[in-house]
Amino acid sequence: MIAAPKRRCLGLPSELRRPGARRGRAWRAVAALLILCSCGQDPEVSFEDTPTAEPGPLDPLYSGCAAAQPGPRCALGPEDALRVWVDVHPERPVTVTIDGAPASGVERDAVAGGQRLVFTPPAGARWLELRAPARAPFVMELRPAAPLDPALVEVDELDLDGDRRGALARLDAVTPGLSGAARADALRLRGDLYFRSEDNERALAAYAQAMDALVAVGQLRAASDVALTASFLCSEVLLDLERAAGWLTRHEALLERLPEARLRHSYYRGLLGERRGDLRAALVDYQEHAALAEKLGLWTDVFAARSAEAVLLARIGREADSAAALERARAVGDAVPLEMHGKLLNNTAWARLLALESGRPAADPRPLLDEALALLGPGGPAEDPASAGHVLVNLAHAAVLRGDVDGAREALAALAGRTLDLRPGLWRELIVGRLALLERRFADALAAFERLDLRAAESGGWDLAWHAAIGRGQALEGSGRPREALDAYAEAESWLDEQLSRIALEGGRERFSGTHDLGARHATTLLVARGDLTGALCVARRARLRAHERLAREARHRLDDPAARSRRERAFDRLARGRAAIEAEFERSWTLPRRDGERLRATLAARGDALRRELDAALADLELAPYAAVTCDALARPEPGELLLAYAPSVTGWFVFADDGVTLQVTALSERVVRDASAGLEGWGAALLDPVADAIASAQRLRILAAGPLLEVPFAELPLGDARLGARVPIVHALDLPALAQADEAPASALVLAPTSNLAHAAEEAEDVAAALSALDLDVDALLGEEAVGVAARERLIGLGLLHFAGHARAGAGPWEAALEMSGETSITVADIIALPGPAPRHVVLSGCETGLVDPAASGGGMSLAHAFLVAGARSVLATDAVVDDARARAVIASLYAALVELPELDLAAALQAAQARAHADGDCDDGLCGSFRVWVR
Amino acid sequence: MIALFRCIGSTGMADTLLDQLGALEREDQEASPRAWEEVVAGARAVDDVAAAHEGPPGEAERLAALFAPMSDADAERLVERLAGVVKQSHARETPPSLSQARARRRGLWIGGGVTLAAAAAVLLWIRFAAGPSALETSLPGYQLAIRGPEVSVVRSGEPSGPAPRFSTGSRIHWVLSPDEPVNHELSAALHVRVWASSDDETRTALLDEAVRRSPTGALALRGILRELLPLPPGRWTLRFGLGASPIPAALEEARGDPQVQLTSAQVVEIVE
Repeated sequence: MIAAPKRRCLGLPSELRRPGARRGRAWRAVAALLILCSCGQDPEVSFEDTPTAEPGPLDPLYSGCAAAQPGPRCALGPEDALRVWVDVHPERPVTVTIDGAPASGVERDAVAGGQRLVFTPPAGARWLELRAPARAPFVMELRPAAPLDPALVEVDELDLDGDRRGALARLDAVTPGLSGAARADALRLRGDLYFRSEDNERALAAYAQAMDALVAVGQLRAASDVALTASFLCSEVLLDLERAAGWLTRHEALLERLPEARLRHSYYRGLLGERRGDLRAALVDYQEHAALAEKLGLWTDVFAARSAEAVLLARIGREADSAAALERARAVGDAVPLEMHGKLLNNTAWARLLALESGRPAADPRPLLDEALALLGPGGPAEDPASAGHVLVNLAHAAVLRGDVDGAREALAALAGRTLDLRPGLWRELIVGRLALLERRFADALAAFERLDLRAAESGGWDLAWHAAIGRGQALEGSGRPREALDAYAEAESWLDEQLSRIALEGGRERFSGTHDLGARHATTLLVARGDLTGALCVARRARLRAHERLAREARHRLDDPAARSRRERAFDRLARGRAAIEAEFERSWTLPRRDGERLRATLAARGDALRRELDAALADLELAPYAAVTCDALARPEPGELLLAYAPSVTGWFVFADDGVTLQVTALSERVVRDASAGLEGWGAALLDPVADAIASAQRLRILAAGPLLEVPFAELPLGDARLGARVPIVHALDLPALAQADEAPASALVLAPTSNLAHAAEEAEDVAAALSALDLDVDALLGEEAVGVAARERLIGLGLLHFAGHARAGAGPWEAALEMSGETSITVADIIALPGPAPRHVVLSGCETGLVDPAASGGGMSLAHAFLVAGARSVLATDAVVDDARARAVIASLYAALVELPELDLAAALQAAQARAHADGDCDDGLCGSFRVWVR
Repeated sequence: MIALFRCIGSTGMADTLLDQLGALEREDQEASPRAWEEVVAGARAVDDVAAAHEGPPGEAERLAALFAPMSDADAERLVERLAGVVKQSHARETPPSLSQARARRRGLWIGGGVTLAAAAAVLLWIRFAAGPSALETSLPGYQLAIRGPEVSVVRSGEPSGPAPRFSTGSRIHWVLSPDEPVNHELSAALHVRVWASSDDETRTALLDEAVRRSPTGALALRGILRELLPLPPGRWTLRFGLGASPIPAALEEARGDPQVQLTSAQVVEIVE
């Protein structure tokens, strides 16, 4: 296989090994070694009338042809192994015949619901045939790969001997005498020789000629390799994104004629997408490539794609997912060259650096960097000067983050005289600026950050521009220029607003926002220092609501453009229909033979993922106008009698703002006080409530805006004076979304959902709730037991005054995987709620486990079922942030509704206050579990 | 139908065995009343037996058609169809219909005197080439999948442990899926039996009427646990047996019967 002879750096990407740094026996082998070096409605189905699934013809993925042409026709070298993945259940037989005889030595593995077959056709083989029961066979013509023209072998050997100039001269001499495929090979070889010489423009010119020649002689696999190599060169080395896009477009033209080219297209498209800041598409591309490569057992590709995925996830702030991707890369083990392990060490360290940078705990990255340097540095077993340069920059970065001036100087000194690639060069600039800040050389720091700002803008360094803006702000503050510093921080915040839409709905926007709050923290701290408390609170609130407000705007806000409105409606409708169809098919899958059923369910899972991606893409396309951040005036003001308590991170600790609409006060809390207080409720109460006790004393209701680890604090259970806070006042937790336009009269309908759950108390709860809601003069509809399937419930969610759910809920591995479990293994998911085609229920009670689970690393607590209902327009949602005992849940809910029927309006917070008081009085809350119930509001 | 368990544990063994034998006898009577055998033997006229038959409306006509002697033309057609069945079983493109094959064999045996030579030849030929036993053992393996939530004291829907927990009042939805497609006729005719074993005893029940069947052989057991499997609280190891012929009530016997497909053991915990 031949592919891009350069790799992309992982993380602070230890860049590709330079061309020529390692030798191969032939130029084809060299190219292969360098490949991809990335561093861095009622779903009930009649059991009696179900048709059998009709699988299509075999359409395998395959890899290993030295040259491939339509047909399909595959050219193989004498020892070339073919790797094939077929979509046939692992327990079903797949026969491999070559020229009519069973193939020998076929290695079989069950992978991704199908089978991977690896085998080496004998010399002279002509026809490969794959057969599986009830599937039309796949036939491919085989032929021997044409050997490289002897003259070109000679050229390659000259290059391998270190005589590149001689190789180029010899190539110039022999090329005019060549024709057809040999000439196309010569043009390609010319490109590679220039590429290895870092004569990039000449390399690109030669690749352009080679591409045309290879396509002309039908050498599509080679043409694919050339296009991807050129794309890589443009996006990763030259940072010329337009030209990279041009090469990818040329490559795209091959895909139809050469299905094999699909394998790596997504990877290179991901690289370009990431460079452009299109994190949404890049992540999908890396994951797609890794999945394809895993099917075929292309371990170098898996390694590269998982590593790239890990770095991108770390950039977004999804550390756990990043670590999982790194682990999957590491699991490849010895199947990849040592130098790639060196790069993975660097990338793992890089992910830790990003966590530390955003103030989150992470292990010390230095041991990993030292190990990487031992591999890649001078004299190391995988010596690679360019990659070692990356490692050294990261060592300097680590030193700066821990405030180690000497360590940073030492690491930067080790970089002296080195020529770094563009990206590590930019990061070095950032480190230089930060070192100057540490040493209080503010003018030097400002100059470094301004240089970085310019270069980052030129090179598409989306994250570096943000770092540069914050650095400039710090340097300006240090220089006594606070107004300009605030402008720089505002610039960093605007940059975040812009970036947010480039992250997929499920891609971690809330995490991204929550882990990129450095600019807001600096600005808040500076504004408090200057006595502008209103401005400081505004900055903190805007940073906190950013992700949810963006989503609410995309999904719910009125769109003036009819075309955009129509697109959104279609997207919602498509999701709803798709989900209903998937659930019906899922049910049908259980009427099929096991293997067919398993196959169908795997397909349906993929279809569900695709549906959510389509929704995301549709909402992203709605953003026709530049994003306008929420203004301070648009932020909700406290209602009469309400006290807004906002806990916001500062540079060194926390602020607590107390705003009753008349008086705004702020108190600084040190990080240590907050950290030490985490031992228990008493400590939390003293740290978080005592400073604002006077303000609380005169409040009739509390509206809490917490952030970070404080999101997990059970405020209602904290002691204040001689009573629990929750006993003093009703409490709501807010996403802080701008107020909705005054709505019409509240709908008078209610829905009670109690799916089949095998819970002892859910059905009783549903009956009690229905009775209470009727007492509230609401028209009550109920879906109970097996009637409560997903599609029926989803269709009834629109325009309700109140929704009550009693049953199982799951938080899921990722926040967007949270769901209410409905009967028949159906569900109501976060995406279903966000994409409701009409107004969400005004009030919602989610009496299941973890329906309001928060993510302390994400702004506003991330995404949960409760968050989703609020984003979709609900006024208030009662949810839980813990696993809830069935009997206790029923008791709390019974008290809640008993209180609710006595209140003048549907006030969930006041009703919960009464229910929790009752639980405490009955001794049912000694373990604090009833404190896991919270009311969330917009 | 509510399936009833019959104990075959250590207590009341003799009575239990008698019960089993009685049950099997009743099953056979239901499937093939003995009076009709006299028709086959030529001792009674088909019309006489039909007139004396007590059963649901239409049953006498159905049985009369089934047990009446065959005409030569019918026998010819049958031979052709049987050959077709065998051919199908060779091609293995579509699953063999065990119920059809069985019914036809019975029809040949019943019509013996008229078509003996042809029937015997065909039967021999069938046995030699594919054979009824080969056909019957081609029933694919089956696996049990437990769908829907277990009983739980928390509202997370997470599995409570290695053994799924249910209360006697739990709503269950279990599916027995064949590894390979089974044709419609066989699916409709499959017998299903469950054995539930605890430390102290083993119980068994027929589920033929309780399961819902898909055309390709998947069987669903859906409803309230105590109505489908009236087991007392405890830890039970379940095994399901499937076969084209009636399944022996004793698990050991079923294990030794090549015509019975047994699922792997599934432990469940049943609580009040």
